[in-house]
Order: sequence, then C-alpha cells, then structure tokens
Amino acid sequence: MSNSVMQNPRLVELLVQRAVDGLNSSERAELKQLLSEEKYVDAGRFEYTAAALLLASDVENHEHEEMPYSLRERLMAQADTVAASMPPSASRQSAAQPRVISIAGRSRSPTAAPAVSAPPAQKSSASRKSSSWGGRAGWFAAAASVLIALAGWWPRLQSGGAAVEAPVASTLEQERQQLLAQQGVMRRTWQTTQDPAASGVTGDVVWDQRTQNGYLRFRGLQANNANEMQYQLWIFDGTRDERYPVDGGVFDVPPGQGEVIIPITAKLQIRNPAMFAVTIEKPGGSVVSSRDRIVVLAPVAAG
Amino acid sequence: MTDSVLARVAQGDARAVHECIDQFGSLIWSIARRLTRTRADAEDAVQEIFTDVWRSAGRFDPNQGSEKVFVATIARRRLIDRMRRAAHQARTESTDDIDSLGWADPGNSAEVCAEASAAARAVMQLRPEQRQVLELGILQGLSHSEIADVLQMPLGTVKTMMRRGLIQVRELMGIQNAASDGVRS
Repeated sequence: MSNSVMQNPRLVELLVQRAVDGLNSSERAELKQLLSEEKYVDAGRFEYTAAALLLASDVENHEHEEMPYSLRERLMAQADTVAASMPPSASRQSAAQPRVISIAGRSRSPTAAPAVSAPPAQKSSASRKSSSWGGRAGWFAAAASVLIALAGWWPRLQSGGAAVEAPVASTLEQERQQLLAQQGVMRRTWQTTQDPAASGVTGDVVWDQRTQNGYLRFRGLQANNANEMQYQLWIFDGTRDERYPVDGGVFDVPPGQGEVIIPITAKLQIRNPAMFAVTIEKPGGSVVSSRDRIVVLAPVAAG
Repeated sequence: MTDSVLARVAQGDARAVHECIDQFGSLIWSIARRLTRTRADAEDAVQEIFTDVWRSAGRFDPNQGSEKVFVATIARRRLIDRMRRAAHQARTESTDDIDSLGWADPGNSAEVCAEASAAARAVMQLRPEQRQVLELGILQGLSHSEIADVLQMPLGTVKTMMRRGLIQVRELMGIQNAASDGVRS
C-alpha cells in the first residue's frame, strides 16, 4: 500500500525544506526515518516541482551559454574514469570500449553482399593523393605543434586495448549492408596518402549519424604486426576543436586478407562528422597521435 | 536505440556517460551559473553534479517525468547543499539582475520541455506575492529565512506560502503522484 506524503504534515515540511533550503544532518536523518516508515509514491514531488519551475524560468533560454572548454575537458576525463570503473556488461561491450576492434578479414561467403563500388565520379587513387594530403597537411602540421602541450587534455583512453577477434566476415558485411540500406547513412571512399601502407588501398567508411554506428572497409591495407604497430581511426567532429579528433578505435589487419571490415567504436558522440582518418600508431594506440603516419582520409564534404 | 541516455548509463554503456555531457552540459552549466556566486564555484559544482547524475541514472523513470527535469532536480539539490555549506549570502548577479529574473513566457517556449511549460503556465496562476516567494526561493536560491528578510515577512508565512505555492503549481501542472523519490540522497 502506497501513501502520499501529504498525509503527514511534518514530512511535507521536511520535503519542502529539502526542496528549497536543503537539510541539515539531523533533519536529513529525520526525513530518512519518516520515509522508511511507509512507502510513499510522491516523496520527490516538491523537488521535482521546483526543478520544473526552474526550467520554466529562463534557464533553458540561456542554454546557449556554453560551459568553458577547460571544464568540458575535465568532465570528459571524469567520464573516462566513471566509464572505466563500470562493471562489464553485454550491453556495454560494443559501445563502451573504443579499443575493442573486430576483424572481418576471413573469406566471405558466396551469399555475402557484394562490395559497394566507388561512384563513377570518384577520382583515381593517384590523383587523390596530392589533393587530399596536401589539403590536410597544414591542418595536421599545425595541430601537431600544440598536441604535446595539450596532451593532458586529451580524453584519456582505456589502457590495455587488446584487439579481439570478430564475428565471421559475412556477419559484419551483412551488418554493414543493412546499415547502408538505412536512410541518411553516409558513405565516403578513402583517399590515400603517400604512406607506404596506403599503397593500393581502396575502400570506404560508412557512418550512420543517427545511431552513431559505422564500418570501415579496406582492400589492400597492409597487414600489421600488432606487437610493432596498430592502425587507429580518428573522427574529426566539426563541433569540436579540430586538434582533438575523437578516437574511433584501434584495429589490426591480419595477413592474407582480401578485404577487412572494421566496426567503428567512437569514444565520444560525433555530432557533425567532418573527416575520418586512419593513422599508424604504437601498439595499443595513442592518446595523442603524432600523425606521422596517416594512411587514409575520408573527408565528409568530399562525398 | 530508443533508450534514453540515462537508461544507457544505468545499463553500463560507457559512451552514454560521455553523451550526458553533450546532452545536459549546457543546462547544468546554466543552472549552476544561476545558483552559484562565481564561475569557479559553478565549475566545481558542475563536476559534482555530473557525478551525481551518473550515479543516479538508474533511478530515472521515464514514467515519472523527463530526463531534463530529473537532471535539474539533481543539480538543484547539489547546488542547494553547496550553498548551505558555504553559508550562502550573496547572489552571483547584481540586484538589478535578480529583479529581471522571472518565469519564461509559457506561450513562447518551444524549446522548453513539457513539464517546464506546464510549470510556467501554473506559476502564472498564483497570487503575485506567492509567485514572488517561489521566484526568490527557486530561481534565486534564497533560503526561507533570506526570503523572509527580503520580503519583511514572518518566517512561518514564507514557509506556508512556499509550501502552498509548490502544491498548487503541482496540482495545476496536472501531475498526480508522479516523481517519487527518484533522487533519494
């Protein structure tokens, strides 16, 4: 049987006090005692009403005042700590661990959906090299000069990011195709750089802004020795400082694979994707990429 | 993908922990700026509030109200605690600023959540002196005693007006027994 707090005047008094003034320790203890005596369905009513009234003021109209950037960065670091302390759960597995990468390099079944070909208007790989890399070089160079100083601000990544084996290739391919079939899903083909690992690489990135899911697809990407180096995806978000792309996950390419499909595991919400970039990093990936070896890029605007 | 961000935090989705900052950061910052004296205080408070939000996410019940009000409830409680600890006396804003604060026009609140719109309509139906008590207590963070001083009213009268005002607003909002003690201390 549930009661209303309105039946108990002292309880009402304490709840209003809590909603407006706050409670001292003895009042808090008294409230706790009163609330434990009966099951009340509306013990939060005054605080809730006060919060609604606060929102009814012009607080919401002032939401355009962004919090300071330094505070936001501290919160992100705080969130990293909270996220890292969460107990493992199935629901968390895919979204929570940006360094958990699946490899789909096995032979695809004959029934798997065919790879999507590049649009006819796409430039050749060779011609793309200079324009894409040249256009972005200044961006990366400028960013690199300040990254070291700002390294502490970078959202801390979880340590020990071991790559894990993926489900069978056909599953990932099917998932990718299913995502592609959704309305509003973007697909951008890779533009290669002059990095040796990029030679002959083709493929694309598929990204669904609504669900924040996506897949990378590569053909011809060099296999890596995970003890020496790993690939890492970075997602540039137009609403964030371009010096701080979002970590999209670390991944490996095993030898002898024709095609690999990698699910994207963005660490943060991507509000306005501007570019996807894959770099070569030390094993385990980097908190701050030196950007010495950028393999492929996929500017969203170029799509 | 229809789960609220708080539900996903409660389920252990680490990405949702970060999304909370995107989704509620500006709101919490606005509330903190209003109910603290300095930007430094506000920044400290925002960090505490987010810790509370993440910890309390499992108590959010969409049947009881919106995420926004739930988060605002947590923010207010934390800020009130901080104000009382600091023996809050002054307000961040000047007196002129305080005088200009008020309820939003409920007819011009497309961006405001449903509960806030209902609250804005409800508060306009209160007597002016009652509305003033609520404004001082809820929008400006004054304690009952401070309101009594400002309005030159007996403390008991202020408490009565506050209690009745909140009850009336709630009734006018048309909410029955919603919002149980979801953010229990």
